[in-house]
Amino acid sequence: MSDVRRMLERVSERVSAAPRGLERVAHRKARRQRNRRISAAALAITVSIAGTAGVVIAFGGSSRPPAGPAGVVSIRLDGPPQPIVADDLAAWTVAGTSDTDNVLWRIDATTNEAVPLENTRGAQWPAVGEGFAWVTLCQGPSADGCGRPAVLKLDPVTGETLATIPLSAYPWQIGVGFGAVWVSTADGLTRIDAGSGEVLGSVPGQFNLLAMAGGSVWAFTGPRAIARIDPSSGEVVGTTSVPDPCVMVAAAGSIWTATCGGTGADESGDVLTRLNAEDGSVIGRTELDHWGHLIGSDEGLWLIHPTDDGRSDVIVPIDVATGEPGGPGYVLPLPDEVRFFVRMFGQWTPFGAASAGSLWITDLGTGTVLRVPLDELGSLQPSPTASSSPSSSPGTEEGRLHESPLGWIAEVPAGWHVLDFSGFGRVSVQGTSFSNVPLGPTEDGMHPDLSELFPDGAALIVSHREGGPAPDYLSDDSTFPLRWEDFRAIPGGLVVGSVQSFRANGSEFTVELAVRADAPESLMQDIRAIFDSIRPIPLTAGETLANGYVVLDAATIPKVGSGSVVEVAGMSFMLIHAPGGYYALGLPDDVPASFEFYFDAHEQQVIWTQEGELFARYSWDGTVVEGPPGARLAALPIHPVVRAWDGQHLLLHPGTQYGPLPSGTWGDS
Amino acid sequence: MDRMKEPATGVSDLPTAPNAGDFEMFFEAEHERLLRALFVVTGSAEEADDLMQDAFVAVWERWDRVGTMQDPTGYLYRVAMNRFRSKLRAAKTAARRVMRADPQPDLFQAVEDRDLVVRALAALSDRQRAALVLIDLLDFDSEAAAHVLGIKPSTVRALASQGRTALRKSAEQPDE
Repeated sequence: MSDVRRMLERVSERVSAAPRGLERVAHRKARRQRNRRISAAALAITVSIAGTAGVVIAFGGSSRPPAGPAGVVSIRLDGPPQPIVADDLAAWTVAGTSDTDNVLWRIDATTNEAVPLENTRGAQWPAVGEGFAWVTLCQGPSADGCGRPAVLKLDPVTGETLATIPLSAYPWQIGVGFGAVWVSTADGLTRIDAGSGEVLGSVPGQFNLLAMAGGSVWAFTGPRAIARIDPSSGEVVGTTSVPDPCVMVAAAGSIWTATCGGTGADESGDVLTRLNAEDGSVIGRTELDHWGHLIGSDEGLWLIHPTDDGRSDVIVPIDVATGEPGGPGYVLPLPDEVRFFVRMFGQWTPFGAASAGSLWITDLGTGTVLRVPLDELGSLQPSPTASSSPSSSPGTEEGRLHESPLGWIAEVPAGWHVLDFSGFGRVSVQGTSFSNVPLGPTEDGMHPDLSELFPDGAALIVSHREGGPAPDYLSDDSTFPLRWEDFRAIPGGLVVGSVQSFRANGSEFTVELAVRADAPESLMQDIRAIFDSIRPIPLTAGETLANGYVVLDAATIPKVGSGSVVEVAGMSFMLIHAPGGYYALGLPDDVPASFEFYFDAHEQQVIWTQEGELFARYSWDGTVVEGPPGARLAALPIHPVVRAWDGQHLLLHPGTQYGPLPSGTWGDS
Repeated sequence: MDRMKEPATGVSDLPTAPNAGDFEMFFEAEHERLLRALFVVTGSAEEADDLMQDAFVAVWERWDRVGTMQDPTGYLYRVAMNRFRSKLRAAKTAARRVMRADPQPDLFQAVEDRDLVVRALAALSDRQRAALVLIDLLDFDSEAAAHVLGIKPSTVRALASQGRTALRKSAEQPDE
């Protein structure tokens, strides 16, 4: 045994594991899982139900009308109801046990009488608007399960079919607005004239859930984006990145979207995001304690989800002014019988609609639509579980703020990451802290240098990795995104003003643009304009930017842990890709081949080795820390190199010195 | 082991997952060694325990996959070292340094500071200690240690070499 090993063992033996170690680990694991409310299986259920009718087995049922709380009307159907829409005249829901057997039901808002419309067999998704009811249809089997896709136009009072409008492809979702019926299909977003029933055209692309607000059609497009479509031209005029959207509604002049089962990162919870219906910018985000379906209307916004035991639903009013749950939620007991069993594991999620002073909520298991008068909502039993995370208060429980005469430091909660905050002298970031005082070199050198693009007072936060290979700085316990409440807690008041995406370093990033809370709208507009211009800015290798940075060719970018010799304007230097970022230093021509050097981002040193053994160490600024006895080592001209915003170039710091080191560098070593 | 399979606390997910017994065996076999290694690296029994628990939770949550690996122990140490190097801790350290409001506790404060080896360890950088522990205490070769630490093998060797030199110097000095 070596002497060093003996020394280390002697030290290590001063500790011993506490008893019941596995038990303590189990408790810690359980705590972590507490926030993982939704499994992938539950998400699959949602997707499946949202996309198709699901697979349902009928148990048959008794004729006994299910009981309900006072004021709540239970409306029995002959099949499990799924999506539902409503206006002042009626609620319309699709019920059935298979795609081909589903029919549309009309529930009269005055009498609560439910009538199946047999001529709608194969019904998929309902809609109501422009004076009519509408439903997508798949009649007859085919390879894709929809032999004759169509949209039915129905009389809003009698349910009579007024027109059958053939579609060219399998329909997904349907929405009505701006004088048209909009159907997302496998061939794009089909636009149908609501008056004539004529198919006017199709917006190319992949779209799913639809909503109408702010003069635009809104549609999910891609896994993490919502498209804003001009209803007159049919053009996609904007796209907003949101974390894993699953449901979307329009309410109170805004678009609201929420996740269903986390935001993709391992422990992140569900998030409700509010978009400005005029421009698609993110107004705010709220963490949700449960995921569920959203009900939106002019009368308000609600989140509905089942209780853990599946015997009740919880209705959570959302304050449309703040985006926060307006209370703990109300428990809506479901009829104490199960007539239909969704042949999937887990619970089913209710669908809902709001109109005529009521919420209409479907329950698959009992084949019931529950009508809850809004003015009776308060008489329901309050939910024992708060819907909003208690930690959602700005910076009070999760975030920590340290203040001193030197400045302030904000620490975001464990698991949150601020990857970059390009305040450039104003705000610096290290790990999960950011501050208006220097915290040392940023460990993440992977992001664009936007110093010349952002005016004083603005900052850029890269807080959400969208895809691509996971950079090594994203540990497996990363959770995103940061909420705007966290930033409001910072002195000076920072709020998120916009969310967009860009590519950097081979990955997609969602970027939250934060500015001071008191920033004028004109500044916001300027920043948005600048932000929008990031991607188109072309870079040419060898050119010098306005801020003095020199652009390097993409071909010179070395892999992590390696370096390459780069020549710019006839001057040579070594470009190193260290774990913490890129760096450049001058390179003498006569460096012995046995020498290697590494940048140690953690120690903030450059380590030179010879034959694998330490030769010399330099501080971060290039000054000699340690070298061979008698050697006369010169300081190294070292400068960080940043990745350009296009992900293809590197930017050399203006102060980087090039060319051979001064003579005598190697001295008599 | 039998006692651990039925914990008095009733933590429901402890024995239920497939291969949970394998994980228990893995835990029993590795946790003491990991704790001691982390203590040498961090200089804090509390932090070592915290890191050890975190690492085992991470491994447990992926046990279906990790348990089939050729070297689950290597994965465990990689997770532990990754967490040790996590930015949260770096940020907290930086915050303390700047703010001067919450001075970092002395390393190895739980042990007598007259021990020259301990003092020599405390004087090393975190990564020097980590490299030293992996190479000289846990018998990782430089390739495996480099994989755990996310750096090049030659860097690991350099870091460990520095650590050895410091420890040996401490051993040459007489105790105070």
